[in-house]
Amino acid sequence: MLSVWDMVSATAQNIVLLVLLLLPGLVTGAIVLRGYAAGRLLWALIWAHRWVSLVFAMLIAVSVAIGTGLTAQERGLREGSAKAAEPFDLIVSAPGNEITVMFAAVYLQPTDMPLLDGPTYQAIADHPRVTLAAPIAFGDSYKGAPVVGTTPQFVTHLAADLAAGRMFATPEEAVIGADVPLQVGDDFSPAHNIGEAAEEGAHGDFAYTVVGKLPANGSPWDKALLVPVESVWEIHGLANGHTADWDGTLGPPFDPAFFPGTPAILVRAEALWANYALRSEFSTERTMAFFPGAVLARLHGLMGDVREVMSGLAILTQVLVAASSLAALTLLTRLLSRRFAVLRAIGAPRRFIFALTWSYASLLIVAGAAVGLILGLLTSRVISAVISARTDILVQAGLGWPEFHLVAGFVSVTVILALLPAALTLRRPVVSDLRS
Amino acid sequence: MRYTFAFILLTTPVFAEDSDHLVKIDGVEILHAWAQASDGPKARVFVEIENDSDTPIILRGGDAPDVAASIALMGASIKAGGDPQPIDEMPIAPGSHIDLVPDGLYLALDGLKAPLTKGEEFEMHLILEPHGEVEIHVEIEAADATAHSHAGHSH
Repeated sequence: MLSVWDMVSATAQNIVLLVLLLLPGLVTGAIVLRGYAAGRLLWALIWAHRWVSLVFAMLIAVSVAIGTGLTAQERGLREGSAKAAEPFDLIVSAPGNEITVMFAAVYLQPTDMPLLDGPTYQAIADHPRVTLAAPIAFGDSYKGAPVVGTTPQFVTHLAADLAAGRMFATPEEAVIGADVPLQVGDDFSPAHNIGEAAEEGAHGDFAYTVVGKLPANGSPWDKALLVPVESVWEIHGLANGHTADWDGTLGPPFDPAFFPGTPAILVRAEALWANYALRSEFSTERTMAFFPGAVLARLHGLMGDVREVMSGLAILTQVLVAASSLAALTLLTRLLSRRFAVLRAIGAPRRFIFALTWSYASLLIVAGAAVGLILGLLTSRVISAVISARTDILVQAGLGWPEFHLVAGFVSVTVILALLPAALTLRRPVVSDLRS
Repeated sequence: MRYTFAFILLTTPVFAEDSDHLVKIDGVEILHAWAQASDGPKARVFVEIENDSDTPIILRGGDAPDVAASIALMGASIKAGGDPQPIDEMPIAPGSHIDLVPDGLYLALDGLKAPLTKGEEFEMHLILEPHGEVEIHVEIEAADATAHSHAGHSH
């Protein structure tokens, strides 16, 4: 049975799950409404109590919006952070905390890190399985945005084609991210350090000229300024990675004796198996090698656990709101008792009154859930925009199958709970209700 | 008994074994083979392989007909949210090593004949060219274990 389920496509599995979740509610509705067409009377009932009905539906909508908004938001953040980390297969750094290094090298969050020396870089770059070994030297900034020293090969790895201009070819040239408020031809002077510790003018009059612009990729690199690593070393008073007879061609090969150091190296191999071999090989006492994707997957796993708890709380909130609404609805049916008594007096069967009351409650639940889905989507989009602005990671939250499943389950449970106020209506004494 | 649980030392003449945790064969050391406990149809086996010989070796998978229907070499995705990928072969150059670990390469056991219970052991073969099928001793750790309980010991 399990193997058959595994063979079915993910979309088909989701549709089947949605139908299964809706089924109890649909079957309940089919049984309760069998033989009756309560539409016009139901509409009249809602219209007569439109404001109360609206309040009930909106209460349900808000509770559904909280639940769906949270799950959609978590998924959007997970997908956005994964996409931002995609170009970074394997990172090698000095031993430390993988998460700290990942945030620094992949998400460009400033941190102090020890440097890998020339022989270490050389050993990595010369490895037969390595197709790209790019230093990622961060620490400087321009108006709060990170200035990252690297190689032309790394820039090409980030984007094969630039959105504008060309690759940097001299130490005084730069390629900038899509969201940097500069244009090709503009000059900028880097500050030493970043954030509140930034020291403007620490590098004297040195200025880069922007010669190219990267296309947007939805990551913090959109706000980064990429410069030749040779110039980063030089403006810090260090060797430029090359011997005195250097011909001026930027990037590798570097001479280990003149390689001042880099906090991180992006390593790439063509074959998948080679990545595992390289990670094993560069996980030593002096170097730490890790897959940012795997570290991120662990963080996502943690987020998933939090999501489970939050989803549980969201479902509990929804059920509590729905239960409160149904309790309030029970009171409302007391207000409607005279109308129902009249219906009974003119010959309406007890089951019709039951069906009418249940339909009234169920319609409010379904309408509230539908509006809640839309509210949840809008809320998560607003939150996504705020997170994107603060982290530079493009977060795009949208409704997916988990949200539809959540709402389907909620609707099924609550329309079954709605049988209770409907049943209570039948227990009311007709004669005294007529007199009331 | 459908499992071949091993409580005996291996006696195959082509290699000498220092302990249950270590198998040596022509300069190749296979250390700390372990599996995560599982009561489902699948399980994963991890091991450290060090090639101190003069020739390259290639890990292609494993075999344990008494334990699982199939054993394949797999690689956990190096991208967040990706699916594991089958790895046909894993070359290990002379002087280098490879660690099979939960978030990297691993041997995927499919079609388990019986649950793998923490604290128990079983034997399986690594398909390791040019040495052929090399018998190893696998200890079963907790289902959520991330390393062999003796990880870090050099034996």
